Amino acid sequence: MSLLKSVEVDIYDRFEQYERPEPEVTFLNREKKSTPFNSFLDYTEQLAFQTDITEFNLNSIRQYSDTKFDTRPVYSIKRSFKPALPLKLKQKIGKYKKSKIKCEEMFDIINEIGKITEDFYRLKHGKFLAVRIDGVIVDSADTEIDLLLKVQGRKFNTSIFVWEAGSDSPPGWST
Amino acid sequence: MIEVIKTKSYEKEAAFVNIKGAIYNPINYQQQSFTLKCRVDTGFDGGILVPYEFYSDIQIIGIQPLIRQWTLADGEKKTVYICAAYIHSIDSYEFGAPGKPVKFVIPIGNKEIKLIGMNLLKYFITTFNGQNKNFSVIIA
Repeated sequence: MSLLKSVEVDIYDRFEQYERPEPEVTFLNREKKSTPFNSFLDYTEQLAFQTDITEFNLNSIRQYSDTKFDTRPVYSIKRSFKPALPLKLKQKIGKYKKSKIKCEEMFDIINEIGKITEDFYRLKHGKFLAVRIDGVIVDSADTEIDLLLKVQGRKFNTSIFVWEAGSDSPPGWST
Repeated sequence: MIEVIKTKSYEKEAAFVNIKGAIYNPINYQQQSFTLKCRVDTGFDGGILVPYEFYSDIQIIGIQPLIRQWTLADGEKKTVYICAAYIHSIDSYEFGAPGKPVKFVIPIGNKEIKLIGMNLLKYFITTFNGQNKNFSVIIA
């Protein structure tokens, strides 16, 4: 791996037709310390950018270099398997973990996490999901009671909530 | 075959039934049984709604209830705890083992209200006679 890395640096100097990638975006803005990234989309774009660069490097090395490199698949590409939550939402979750919050606040937190999770995993509408408070899906089922029976008795480190994919109206008293 | 479970008259201008059931933990095989006198509410789409006291009873047998969004009739937004429970009997009628699975809803701050809703009533034919002030629960 160390050999691979050293060549990756040189390849841009040797072949000028390839544009040198921009340096990594540092989110430490001294004026605005509280916003490391603006939205969820920014983060995904950045991830896509990173993966493109790594793939490009490997291909270019294999084409233009005379030396033989290790051709085993590289598993070090970083990919996110859980949705990135906005900072404000993370702060709200932190508040929830530390102290008690109102029911309405919890309702809004669940709403936001549920929608982000739904978009991230591109879920089929009508499925019932047990979602962790950080947006990771624990289990899913076609009906709510099946989901409850599946999850019953299992222990989790964080709070779990039920989310119906594609539904905007939560259950309760039908009006 | 149609079996009438019971024709009961209203109490305090509302329909009440006695139910027996239990909450199971399939991992450590513990259970918490309950006997409740619940009001029949056709506008409630959960199974059983119980007071908040039951939250500690559930935790004793090692069940972590899930959080669920809930709306009230007046549009108030709430969060409740839910888990699955099995109903063994409703009044004199007994279900076969292990019972009927229903949603067990525990609203935060609820002290008195006990309801059964459409998630349990879907197993029956329930008729309300408003003129005679009675109701019957039929299983077909």
